[in-house]
Amino acid sequence: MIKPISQAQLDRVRRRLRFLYGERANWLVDRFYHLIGRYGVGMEPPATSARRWDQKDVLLITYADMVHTKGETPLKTLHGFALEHLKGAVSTVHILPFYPWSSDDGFSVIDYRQVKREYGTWSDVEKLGEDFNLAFDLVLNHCSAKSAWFQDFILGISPARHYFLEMDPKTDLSAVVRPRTSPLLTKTTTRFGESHVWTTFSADQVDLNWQNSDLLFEFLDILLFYISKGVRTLRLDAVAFAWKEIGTDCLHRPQTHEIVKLLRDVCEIVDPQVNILTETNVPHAENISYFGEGDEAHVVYNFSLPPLLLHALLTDNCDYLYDWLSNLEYPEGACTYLNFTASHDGIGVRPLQGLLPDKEFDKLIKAVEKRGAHVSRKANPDGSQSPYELNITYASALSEADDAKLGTARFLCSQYFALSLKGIPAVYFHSLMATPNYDEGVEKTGAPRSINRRKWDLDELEEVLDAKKAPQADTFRQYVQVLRRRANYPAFNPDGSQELYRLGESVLVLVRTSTLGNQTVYCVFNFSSEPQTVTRPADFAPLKDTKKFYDVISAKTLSNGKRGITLKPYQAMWLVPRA
Amino acid sequence: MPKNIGFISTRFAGTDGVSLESAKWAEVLWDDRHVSYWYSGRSDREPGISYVVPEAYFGHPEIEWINERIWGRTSREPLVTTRIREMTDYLKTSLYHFVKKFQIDFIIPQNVLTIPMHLPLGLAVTEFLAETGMPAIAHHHDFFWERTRFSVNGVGDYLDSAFPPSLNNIRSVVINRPAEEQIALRKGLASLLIPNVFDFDKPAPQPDEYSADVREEIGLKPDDVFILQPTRIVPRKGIEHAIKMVGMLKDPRYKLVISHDAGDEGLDYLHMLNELAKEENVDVRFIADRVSEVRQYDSLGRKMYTLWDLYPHADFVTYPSTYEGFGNALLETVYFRKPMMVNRYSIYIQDIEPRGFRFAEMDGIVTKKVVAHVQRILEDSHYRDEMVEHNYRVARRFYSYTVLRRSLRTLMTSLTGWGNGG
Repeated sequence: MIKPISQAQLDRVRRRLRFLYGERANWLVDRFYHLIGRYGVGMEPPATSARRWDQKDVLLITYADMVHTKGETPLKTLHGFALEHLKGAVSTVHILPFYPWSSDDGFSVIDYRQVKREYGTWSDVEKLGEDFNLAFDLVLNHCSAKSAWFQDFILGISPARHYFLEMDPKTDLSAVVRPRTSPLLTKTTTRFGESHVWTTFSADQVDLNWQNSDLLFEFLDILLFYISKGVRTLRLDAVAFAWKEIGTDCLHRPQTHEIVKLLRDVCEIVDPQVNILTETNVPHAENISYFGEGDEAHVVYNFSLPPLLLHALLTDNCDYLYDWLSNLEYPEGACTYLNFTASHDGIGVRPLQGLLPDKEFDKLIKAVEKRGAHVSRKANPDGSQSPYELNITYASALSEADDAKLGTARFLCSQYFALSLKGIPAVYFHSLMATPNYDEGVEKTGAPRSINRRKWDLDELEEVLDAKKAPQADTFRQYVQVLRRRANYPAFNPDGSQELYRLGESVLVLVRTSTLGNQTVYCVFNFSSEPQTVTRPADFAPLKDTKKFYDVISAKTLSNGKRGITLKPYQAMWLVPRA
Repeated sequence: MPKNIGFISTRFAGTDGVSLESAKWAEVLWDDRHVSYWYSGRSDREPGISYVVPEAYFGHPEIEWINERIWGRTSREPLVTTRIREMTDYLKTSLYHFVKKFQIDFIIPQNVLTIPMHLPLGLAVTEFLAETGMPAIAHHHDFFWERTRFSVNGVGDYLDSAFPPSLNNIRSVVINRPAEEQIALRKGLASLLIPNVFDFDKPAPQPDEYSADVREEIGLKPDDVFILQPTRIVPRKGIEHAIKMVGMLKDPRYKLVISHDAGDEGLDYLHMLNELAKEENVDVRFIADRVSEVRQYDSLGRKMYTLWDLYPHADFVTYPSTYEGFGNALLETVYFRKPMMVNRYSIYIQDIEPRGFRFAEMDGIVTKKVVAHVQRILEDSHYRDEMVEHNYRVARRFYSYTVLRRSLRTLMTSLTGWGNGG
């Protein structure tokens, strides 16, 4: 038997298994006990853990083949690119699903234990892990209809014949909440005849049956395998949908939360350094429910941030952003937010529910549509449809048709704001490059999300980034520089404190202080297209006694003279008081 | 008195020899009202009589992890030993559960004490039998010494103790004479030879509505001659000889149809066959994408056929294997009353040929004489009919369920003293 499991840990696991699988728990605990140590993971008692994260932690969200060049695997090219351009700026590379897949750009997984041949090999992934921390997806809600598991289902071969949910099409499933308009059940022919299987997202993404304990163990095995390959952050894709219970909305079921807790327990037993990140693009309160009692996700996406920030900067009105942020509760213990503005998906607008009045919501939709966005909609129970997701690159969403400079300033303001917030920043590859909308991609695939999923030829990208006085290249240079500088300021530690102030209509100040209290950075943002001056001390008490500041972003020293400090349109400053 | 029999294998699914033969044994045992239960890592048996332990499958990731670290090297790391022991303990516990759950009286390990595809399962079964003294018939299909990939290993100690083990409560069954000799020579164990069997008392199924269109669906014209190679595309199947033979027939109507796919052992062999077919001007059809273990429709809505849907339509079968543990395709061909060209592989020479079958035989190479014989079989229907009827009669005598029934009864009686029906 493997040694490092304490009785308390085992009892906790037993409780969770009993909650999920009832009487089978005792046998499953035995099975669990034998699982620990698989692939050599968890054979030794874990070392005393260092801090879980610090100000150096920044995630890069990227596809495995975001950059490619002839004669090299894309994973190797990505590694080389990241090493050359991003070392010191980002600490973790989140490679979106790089397993063999059949649709949805990777999220329809055929084999969880393989690297898609076209991307490279496990060795490429492990080598990347030598220079950066690694984040992988655990796509646990569904798998590809072309997977061996689903083939076994069709052929009636156990254990996988029980990995899927067969439903009588007459079942009343009207209460089920889902973000798609496609049919919930998909007809399939099996060895035993016709069957209807549950497909939340698409016919090619067949939902997995978590009520089957063999499936849980399949995923525990995959979890340990990923850990053996060096994963440090495990992103639980679409986890909110995992447990289905007829008669309910099948979203955020208590059993789903218990599964997340169990996965966290396993990580704590075998490798306490591993973070669980839940992906639940839902209204804020539901989203943060995945922090649990500090016993579920370590990190939760801050899903309200991208659309609220977008709204503030496009309307020059930071009221709603301020209100939300003032009321935002930060989790206690080893938990934090993942602050991002864009990802491979579009900008979800469901998290705006309750945060933005309908009029402002409509304003936002119009503003992004004007900038080339596709607006994906979801079906409502009453038969109507409402916006679900905005498909546009974040740089284009903040662009200004007649004033590229203003657009760039606004975009960078958004990025620096996200970098300033308490939590861990995550930067999508195309945000870092300020890539404009990839309309050709949408034309090619017919999928609106392609607008933000351009893949770069390495030479072409290098050319874009090397260009002199080109907005995209300048943005990239400034962005990376600021990321590197930020890493030196413990005030940006995700666990540091944060205070929020609003100066006038358009200026927000975030005061970030390090965990030891020995460093403070004043992050000042102008959310308007007009210059704003922080003049009177009454405007902002914390600044009044300081005469000089160092602005980390511009690397300039500023004086807080009589005229105060003036911010250009959409300028951001990170001010460090100088003695 | 009827007993509960527990079959144990890494998998009972699909058309591999072990799965097929096990089902036949169960059928014969059922005639004596013995009920079969199935312990395995993968199973297409009824859930109510199956006990599926995913870790018991040789393709389980943990087992693959272990296999990568024990074969092709002469020692093993302590971590590997630990994981082998862990898994053995776990599987042994599951065997106790299985036996308890179904009140098993008798165990039939199917090849798990023979070929070490799953080392911990072999160890677990051995320990279970040693601890319980439960009577068992170990059915051996392929020994590890018959496969070069197991010859360099870091687990000689485990192979000695469990593949197969020497325990009083186990009787060994082998499927051919060389195996009988080798197990005696290497392990000092007596064994009973029970060849692979077929239900020759029940005539082969004929095409039905579903399979009536096989020929046209695989692209054969009415005049074409359907020559079936009913095997996977791996080098030991000697498919190059089939191509050569069809080439020498020099008739464009002859189409060689290969039912299964390649890939298990790489694609080089497939490429080589393609090249050869071009050189020999032979029309080879690869139809693996239309063949499935069960009848179903593929993603394009096309019908998928089983091997048994193909046999009735075939005009001739090629089986030029260089090595076979027994040769199930040979019995299938006889069962479907089809003529066949067979290469004289060693087991064929020792065990099958002496029974008096009539095939177009080749001896390592396709000679003009062989081709002439094939030609006669194809063209002379009277000769062909007589040949297949003769073969059916021989097979019915030596490879029928009756033979199996007799042997199993003898074995069970000798082990347990239960005797016939009581």
